[in-house]
Amino acid sequence: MGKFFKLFVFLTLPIAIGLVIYITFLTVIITKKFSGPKWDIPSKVYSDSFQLYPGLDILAIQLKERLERLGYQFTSEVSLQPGEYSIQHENGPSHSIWSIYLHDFSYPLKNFSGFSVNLEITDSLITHMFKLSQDPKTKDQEEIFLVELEPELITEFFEETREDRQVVKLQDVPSNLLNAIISVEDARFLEHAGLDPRAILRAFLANVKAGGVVQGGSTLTQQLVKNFFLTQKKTLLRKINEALMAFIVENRYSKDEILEAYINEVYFGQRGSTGVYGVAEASRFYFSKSLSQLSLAECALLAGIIRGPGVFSPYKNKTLALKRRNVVLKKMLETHTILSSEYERALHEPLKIKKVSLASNTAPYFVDFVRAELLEKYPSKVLTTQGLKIFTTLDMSLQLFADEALQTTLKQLELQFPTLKEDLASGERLQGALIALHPQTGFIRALVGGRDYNESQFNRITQARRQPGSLFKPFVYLTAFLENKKYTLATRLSNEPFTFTYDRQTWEPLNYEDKNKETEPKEVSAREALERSINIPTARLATDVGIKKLVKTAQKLGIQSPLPAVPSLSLGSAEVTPLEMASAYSVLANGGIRASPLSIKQVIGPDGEILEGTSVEIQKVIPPEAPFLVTHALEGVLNQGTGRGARLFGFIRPAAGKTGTTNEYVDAWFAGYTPDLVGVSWVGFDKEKKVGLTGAQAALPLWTRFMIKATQSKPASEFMVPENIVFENIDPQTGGLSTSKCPASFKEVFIKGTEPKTVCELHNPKKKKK
Amino acid sequence: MKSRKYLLLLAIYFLIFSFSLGCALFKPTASIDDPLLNFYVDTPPAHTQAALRLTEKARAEIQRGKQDVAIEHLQKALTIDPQCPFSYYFLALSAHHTGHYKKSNGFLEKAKQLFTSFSFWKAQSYQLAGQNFEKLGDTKSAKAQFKKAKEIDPNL
Repeated sequence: MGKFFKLFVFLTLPIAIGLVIYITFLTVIITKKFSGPKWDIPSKVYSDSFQLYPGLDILAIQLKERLERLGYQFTSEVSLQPGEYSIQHENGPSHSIWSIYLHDFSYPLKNFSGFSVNLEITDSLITHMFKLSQDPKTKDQEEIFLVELEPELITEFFEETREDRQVVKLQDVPSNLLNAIISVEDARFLEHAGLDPRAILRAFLANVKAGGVVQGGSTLTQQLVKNFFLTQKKTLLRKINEALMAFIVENRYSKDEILEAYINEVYFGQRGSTGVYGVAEASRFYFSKSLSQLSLAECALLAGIIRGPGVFSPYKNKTLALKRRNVVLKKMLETHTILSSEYERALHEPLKIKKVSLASNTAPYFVDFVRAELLEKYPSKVLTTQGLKIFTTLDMSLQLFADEALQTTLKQLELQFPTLKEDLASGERLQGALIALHPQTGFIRALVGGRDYNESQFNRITQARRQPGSLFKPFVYLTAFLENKKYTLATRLSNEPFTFTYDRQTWEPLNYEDKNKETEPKEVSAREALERSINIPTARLATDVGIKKLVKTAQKLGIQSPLPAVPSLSLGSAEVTPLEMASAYSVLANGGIRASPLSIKQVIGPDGEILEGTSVEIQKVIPPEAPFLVTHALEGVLNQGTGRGARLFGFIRPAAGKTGTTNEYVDAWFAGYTPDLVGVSWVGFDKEKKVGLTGAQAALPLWTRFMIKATQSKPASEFMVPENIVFENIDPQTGGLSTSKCPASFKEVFIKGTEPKTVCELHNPKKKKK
Repeated sequence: MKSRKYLLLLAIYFLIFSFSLGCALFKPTASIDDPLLNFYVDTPPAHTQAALRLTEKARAEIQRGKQDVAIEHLQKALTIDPQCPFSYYFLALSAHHTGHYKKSNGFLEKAKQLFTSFSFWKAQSYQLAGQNFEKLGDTKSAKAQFKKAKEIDPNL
């Protein structure tokens, strides 16, 4: 007996010791997972929110498209569910009521609970807005004047695996959903200790009877353990590990902790290439609702999907999904978690699922820019695992307009000029880029850094340094008006070729249209030189005023690239980025006040705390009068100068702008602005190959296409006239005050004190004294 | 009979004159707490009205000491109407309350530009800029701003 006992001990002791070591090892793994962050939560990047108010044109703001992008579901029913909208026509087609049940949304400073609003529309204009009572029995409504549509999700920053998940606390999950999951997945969850022998036996018998695997006996704890730590392979070893780990988990953690981990871990299907995990994300994905808004039937449907999202997802098979939902409801009835009346009601609830809206990154270049900014402050791992919410300044509609304008323009140019088509030998395609920002706030509203992000991630707005050519000329005039009172828009400038000597070098600027040399006037006004983008008078003015002063002005406007103080700078020889040009033109649009370009508004941490809040910061860098003079002349560029194509194209609201073409027609630019929006467009090849087109031919159509759509939702407004500005009628030939004897006359703008004091002498010769 | 008629006419003229004089003398002076919409002679465009509503909300938040909420409202107001001078003024006031005097003056520069037809508020902007300069220790600039404020609105 003693011998056998010794042999038994000799044989089992090492196994027991090994088992203890192995269990300790498993315990360490489990504890580590449960005590730290359990999941990598991707950070979400959002656009700016959008405000609706009476007077807004719903066609101009593309309300329907906005709602669709936000995942609102159109319904013809009168009673709305959260996330639905309907349109009812009343008293003819011009009157309608748009009802929207707004989504819940966690804004940086508030948690917004959705409610129903009615928008009264007449001829596409919102006339009134009403907030409806939450109680469907009462028809109370309260007039409101602002409705905020939540920001649109632009993209997410994932770690290696693309898993979308919103982590929720157990107490935030409706009891119906918890009961549904427990009833159908593990009815004895609250009774067993990780393994359920009864369920295993039942499954075994069912499988033997069916001659294959038709039923599983895994508890919720086992499923959790399998998803957390193990593979999906059906091997004996994996089953043993699963059982051991389930047992350890049940011993170390409460049922609530296990259930909370389970409901956040469980897989619910695919949104494109991204997996949908956890009940909260699933609720958004299938119903566009937050958990608290789910009905009993919807809870049952979600619980039913868990068994096999590939089979029971309503997106895959509506009939199977409905059958499975009803099975779950039946189980709930059997486990007495619902009453038979509730069961009957839920059974007859129609299956309503929302359309799948894939979050495609519609602003990849902008997102790269945002990411680069964030990486200066946060490690990459934080961005992909901590579930930050990044609220940006992007206006999604403007972004889509910008992208559409870019694609259309480049295609049109290639059709019109076949030589621009892709060079198959080099594989290089014509490129373009566009940025739009608010001059007053610096908010970047749209940014397209290239034609195709999949083809090239090089951001031509923020990374490409190119010569701006004539886009730089307004800064020459601005410097002149700032530095010396003798210069006005009426100042006559020589258009005759000249040679400028500096640092033992010579420079001889030429005009573009040299073929018309003989017909060119010998003298032009500053306005004419700017409107027609003439090189020689601009270069002469720059050398007169001083190149160093020009450098200083450009830097004040926000140009950060190195600017060599050489005379060719006046014609745009220094390389700058389109972002810098947009920033500099913003100062012109904003009356000498500079707002630094902003892309991020707030960064919110995983617990809702504000990690970063970027508020608008503005600074007066130059007095408002000189920029107004330049703006006035640049309005002339659009009305009768090199940019008049914009008017022919149908862009008629007050705006100013400047074309830019570099040497050998390599880069085509246009920078232009209304009082509220600055846009800079660029067209060219990455390898500085000749495009052969001017800024007016290639970049202006892109800018115009974008600006027509981008500005349509706001009424047109004039540029504000600063206090110290006067208007005088002058003779265009001489720049003197015009009289009735002058054959032509026009109203010119002057800084007070610089206006001409004498009448035009050419047409009003002084009488000779007798 | 005729003189009676004249007397009646005279009495009516006198009443009208006294009423007009009373109105002129007892005209309520503008206050910084008045509804912003009251300062517009004509109804402003829809987007300005929307921006003003947000600015009003921000004003209330500033009074409650909730500067971050106020800034959030004001930035939204500027997105709707970037030419609304009141939004800049209250951004400046909020920055002033949080001790960001230089930043406050940046906003006031824009407010001064835009308050062309609101002399009361233009003067307020100069006044606040003066207070900012005072806090920054630049007494010369502060005095210049106060002087300008007084020039614009002698009642200040």
